[in-house]
Amino acid sequence: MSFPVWLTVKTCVACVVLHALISIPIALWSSRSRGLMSRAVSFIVTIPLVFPPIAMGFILLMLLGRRGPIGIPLEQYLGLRLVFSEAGVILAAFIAGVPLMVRPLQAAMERLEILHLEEAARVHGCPPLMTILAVTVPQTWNTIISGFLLCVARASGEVGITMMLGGNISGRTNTLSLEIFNSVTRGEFDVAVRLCAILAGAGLILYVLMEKNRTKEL
Amino acid sequence: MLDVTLKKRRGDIVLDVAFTCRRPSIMVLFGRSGSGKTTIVQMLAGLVEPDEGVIRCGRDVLYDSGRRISLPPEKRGAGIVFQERRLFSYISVRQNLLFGHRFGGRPLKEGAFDKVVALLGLERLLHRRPNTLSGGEGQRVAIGRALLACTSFLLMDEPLASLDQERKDDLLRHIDDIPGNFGIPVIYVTHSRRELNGLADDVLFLGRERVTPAAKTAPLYPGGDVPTGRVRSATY
Repeated sequence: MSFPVWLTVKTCVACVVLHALISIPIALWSSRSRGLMSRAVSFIVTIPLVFPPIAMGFILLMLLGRRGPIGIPLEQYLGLRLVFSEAGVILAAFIAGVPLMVRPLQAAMERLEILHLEEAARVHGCPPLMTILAVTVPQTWNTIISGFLLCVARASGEVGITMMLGGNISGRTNTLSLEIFNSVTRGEFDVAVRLCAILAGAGLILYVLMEKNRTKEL
Repeated sequence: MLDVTLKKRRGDIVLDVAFTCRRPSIMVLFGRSGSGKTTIVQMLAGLVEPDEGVIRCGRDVLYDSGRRISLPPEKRGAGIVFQERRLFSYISVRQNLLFGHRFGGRPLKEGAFDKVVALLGLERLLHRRPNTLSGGEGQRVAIGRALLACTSFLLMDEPLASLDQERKDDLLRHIDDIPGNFGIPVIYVTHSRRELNGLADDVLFLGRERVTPAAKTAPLYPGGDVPTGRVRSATY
């Protein structure tokens, strides 16, 4: 029972790092750009929200698998095998969380109030990158934090994409949520109940943090 | 000395202005809503690109369409006060005042902080967050932030528009003291005759016809106290 818990915690932490490095810049860029490219990116990041996870996982498996158009060069040139590995589990949880991070943050960063503050900062000497760090990010901090919390919640409960990309291999890619499914199929209902209790506790903590963040004045 | 010649097409009208602001003085851009006052301020600040023209501040060329020079906003050394206060809500009033120095690398002269705080009466507000300030207090902080960040000229775009008359009168007194105290030119946008009368050293009228400064200024200054207009043209 300890391996699924450990893997889930590791996946959640990795997702927070990936969202900080990838999702926040995507949200910032797509909120400032009006081109075709930005609209295409907005469409792509929304797909995991509107497309069934299991189907999404299947498409990713086809693309990233050993015979997939992305999987072949990844393995050939970088020696990276994403499917049926921990990396696949992390990637699945990350993809599931991307729209939850990018869409609200995009909306927050597009607000006229933020654009006005950026203008004030620029005129008072801030170069563009410093403006992002000193104004855009701190002024949208509540949205960023709530995005992280939502993504952690989504990552800890992800099943569909994870099952396809990770393969649900016991001791290697079975996350907490998948282990609940495995326990039930094995008839070990008491184990499933204990795992559910862990997820419920984590969910409750995330909810309290989200509420505290929501009511916190910036 | 701020020397400005700018042309900007907006829809089917052309904003065409030229003026010189000697230092230290207040140049008021006066006109109705939609006459292009804010666009001029935005062009001076570097937030809007003119179609053509030149902006010089002393020896520095900030914009010259002919020589393809256009300094970004952060390199123009300007301070700006908007109609809304636009303060950074996640930091204290003190940190807002020092924003240009801390994040923009603008030089902070010795004693300047204390001078601005005393001039604008901000002593009791320094540790407060902007969200807890009243309209007048917030605008005083915005003026202080702009003054401390400003190294070349100060832009004020209808800074009193959202305040009640009492607060307006209080702030007018503070604004009037700025050129004398800090030795910088101030470009002040308004459509209020009261503010025009109270502040203007020079005035640029913006209207829908070619402007004749004497004809426009005379009725506003029945006592004969007409500011020395440096308007070369303000045409639509």
